[in-house]
Formats: sequence, C-alpha cells, structure tokens
Amino acid sequence: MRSKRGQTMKNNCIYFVEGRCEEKLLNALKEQPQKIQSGRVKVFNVIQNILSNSQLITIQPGTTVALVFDTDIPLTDCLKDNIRRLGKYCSKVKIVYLPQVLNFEGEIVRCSDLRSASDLTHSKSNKDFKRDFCAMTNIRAAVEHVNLNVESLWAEEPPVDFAFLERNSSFIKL
Amino acid sequence: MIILDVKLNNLYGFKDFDIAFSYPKKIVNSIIENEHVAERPNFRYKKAVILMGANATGKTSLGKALLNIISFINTGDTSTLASMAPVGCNGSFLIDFVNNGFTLHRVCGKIGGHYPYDGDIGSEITIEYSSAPIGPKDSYEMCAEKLVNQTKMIAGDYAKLGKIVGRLDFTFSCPDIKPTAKVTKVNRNIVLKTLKAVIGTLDPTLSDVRISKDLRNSFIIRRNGEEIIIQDGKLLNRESLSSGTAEGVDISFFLAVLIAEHNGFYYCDEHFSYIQSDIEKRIFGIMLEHLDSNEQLIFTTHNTDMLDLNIPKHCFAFLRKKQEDDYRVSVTYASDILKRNSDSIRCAVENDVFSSLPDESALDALEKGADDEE
Repeated sequence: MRSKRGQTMKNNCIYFVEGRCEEKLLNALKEQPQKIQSGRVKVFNVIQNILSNSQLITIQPGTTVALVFDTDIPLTDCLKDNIRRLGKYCSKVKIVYLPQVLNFEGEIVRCSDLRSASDLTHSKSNKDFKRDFCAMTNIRAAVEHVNLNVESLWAEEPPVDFAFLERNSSFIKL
Repeated sequence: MIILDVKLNNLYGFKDFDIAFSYPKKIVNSIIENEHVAERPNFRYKKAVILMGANATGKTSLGKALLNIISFINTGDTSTLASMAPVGCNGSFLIDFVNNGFTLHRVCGKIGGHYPYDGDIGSEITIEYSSAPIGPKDSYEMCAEKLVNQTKMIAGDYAKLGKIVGRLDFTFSCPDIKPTAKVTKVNRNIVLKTLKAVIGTLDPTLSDVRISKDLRNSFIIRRNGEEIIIQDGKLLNRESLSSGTAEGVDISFFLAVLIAEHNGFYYCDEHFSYIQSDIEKRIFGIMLEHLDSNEQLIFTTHNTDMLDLNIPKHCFAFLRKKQEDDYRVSVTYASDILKRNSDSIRCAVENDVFSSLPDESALDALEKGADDEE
C-alpha cells in the first residue's frame, strides 16, 4: 500500500494526543476509508509532560511520531524538550506536528460546518461537550455529517509562541 | 550491587563459562544515562542486560548460580554452593563485583566433588577473596589487573566474607522462585501502586485493588463481588485470573522491590511468557527508568520484539549451546559483532548471526510423511 506521496506504508506511526477526545477522533479517522495514517494512539499531553525513557525506548527507528496538542496556553518548554529528546534518543524518527488552534473544540468547528462544538454532540453546554463526545458511538459518521475537512485539520497557523514548529501535518493525511 | 564478571566451571552444566558486564567505550546519546559506577565515570558496567537464548541454554541456571553464590557470600552457608556441582566432579566459580563504596571485590570458589553418601558436603570448599580500590579514573579492566597477587584464603568461618564486602542486595525472580521474602519488607503503598498499574493494564476489569484491613501483608483485588487475595506476595486463588494476569502479580512485586530498593541487583527470569509483547517492552522500560546508580538488571526473555528496543547494543547478550566434545554454553554480545549504528539486532538474530537460534532438526521426524526409521 502506498500513500499519496508514493511512500510505502511500512513505517510505524505513534500519535501522542492531548486527551480522550483527540484519541476518539483519530481512531475514527483511521477507520476505512482511512483519512490519516494508521498508528497507535496514546493519550499523553506533550505540552505538560516529558516523554519518559520507558516510552522512548519502545519507539523503533523510522517511526513517525505525531504530536497532537492545544495551543491555547503559550507554554512550549515541555514541547521543545520532548522534541529534543525524540531527536536525541530515537533514531530516524519523523516528528509530525498536529497543533489544535486553539483547542480541540476550536479545531473541529473551524474545519467543519459546525457553529459550535456542542452542536455535534447536542450537549446542553460547552462544558459537557468533551464528556458527550467521548461517549459517542459513531464518531466517524458524526464528523462526516458535519463535513469535517481533514485537509484543514491541524493546518491553521498556530499562535506565535508555536511558530518554531514545522507545518507538516499533511505528512500523516491520506 | 554491580556484577562485572562471572566465571563458572562445572557448575549447573556450565563449563568454562564466562559472562562479562563491563563495556569498553562510552556511548554517545545513550538513553541509559550514567552507565558507570557513581563518581567513577570510567568504571563502566552494563546497567541492563537482555539475555536471550534458546531453551536449556542456561538463562535460569545462571540466575540460580548467582543467587547461590550471593547467598553464600551473605551468610557463609556453603550448602547452596555444594548443590551446584555435579556429583563426583569439581566445580569452580569466580565473581567480580562492586558493592557499597569504591572497591572491586573478587570471590573465587572451588567446590570439591561430593557424593550423596558424604556426610559433610561442605567440607571440600575452598574460597579465595581479593579486592582493589577503584581510583577516580580507573576502569574495570585496570582494577581487575590490580587484583592479581592480592588473593587471600578465607578458611573456616565464611561468614566473615559477608562482613568484609557488606551485605549484597540481590532479587531473583522466575516463575518458580518469587521475590516473596522481600515483598513483605517493601512499603505497601509502593506495592499497591505497582499492582494497580500492572494488573489494571493486563485486565482492565481488575481496577479495584486495595490493601486488606483484616489480613496481614495482604492485598485484595475485587471484581463483580469476587475477591482475589494476595498474601505475603502469593496469589491465593490463582485460578480466578488469566495466566497473564496471575503472572502480572509476580511482576508487580518484582517491580515494587526494584522501585523501593537501592543498590540492588535484579534478575528477572522469563516472567513475561504469558504477557503481551508491548506490555513487556513498556514494563522493561519502567524497570530501566527506576534503576538507580550502582544497580543492575538482568532480564531474560524469548520475545524477539525486545530486540527492537531503542537501547544500546551492548545491552543484548545471547546464550548458545554448542556441541564440541560435550555440550558447552557460551555467551555472545551483540555489540561485539554489530558495530555500526545502522545494524539491526533483530535482523542479525533472525539471520542467526549470534548462533543463538535453536536447532529444530529433531522436529523434522514429526513432519507428515517423514520416514519412520527405527
């Protein structure tokens, strides 16, 4: 199987995502027909936590490591350290940045016909949105119903504090 | 405690066997930091070793031999040593190690052949001891040279050996031998934390793990009204859990001891036979992360997925049994053969570069259509 850029799909991919909602969405986008590259999704906030050595040693050479994170808080020290550690300890990894502008709700509203994130889940308030989204059973159908455009996902320019990141989200899109 | 070198001859089926745990050159950008004796940067030792090999190549026997030798050094009791030598043969061992402080210790033992009808099986044991200070710039090899001509005989009261070298902390765990005695001494909250994490990962329905209020040294796992009790490190109703989850209880205890102790030597022998490969890799990583300075872990496994771990090549050692005049076990280190960063250990193993793959030819007789030659 080949991607649209002619690369073979033999390489592994790991997604480190901010929370359960992102995990659900990515797993939905991996369903057939695939919108993003297959890969293991691990809930790990790279903005607040440092990837441990026990996680780094399991990353094989040549793996694509995709980082999904919010950009609403201008703190990048942890993120920079994680990028440095991935480059230092894991050989030949490709780091792909999937910044959410400014957060999960903002990202899906921007890339779909939704006026508010809570419209997707019919939540009573924005506060309940995340809980309701995680409880949804057919996320793929729901996001397709609101015309979620995967091409636009994680493609918006993040706030200036995150300007050092390469804009390469298309690498994992199929 | 750190072991630098072990030689075994005529013990547990090992003949002229030598396994070394030092490595020659500092590894740049190694994920295992400070792989040397604390404050002695040139005294390099392998902090973690993944020991692989086909069945009956001596992985468990090596652990048992180390356990017996260290128990002897700690207690002076020679009965465990005598049991290692085959009936009627002389055996010997040599062990180089560092315990607390900057001293390299060497203990050599000769175990005389005994017969089942011998009244005193410990009477033919000879022990020699030597030591050398570890200078600020010394490597293991430099210190080992200093040991020559320093040998003292230890006669009679072997317990004084333990007083000279200090108490050695050793945790050996295999499916037959549990680190039970040590678990009772570990902080119960650490044990609870490891049990919750490991058991909860292996079986998400077992998230309710508590310290028992009524039973001594006990933990209770609750699931749908059922209670699974672990007392003194032993799972009382093992049949209630899957094989992997039951194994996970023992792994939790081993991990708890490793997290709680300092200055220890740990031998984890094939505990992950029933456990999913990714979980084995992650738990090994956690063990590695919790290893303090002057600690060491030997981890034996058959899982070839471990070869993909992103750790230095010198961490991988392979036992092999070759037929010469007799069957002989030897060790090969991946770093001795694979020199380039781009070399794949998995690829080398799969292509039998280390001669560690088993000979399956005896199984050919079972193939459908094979001739019945009797």
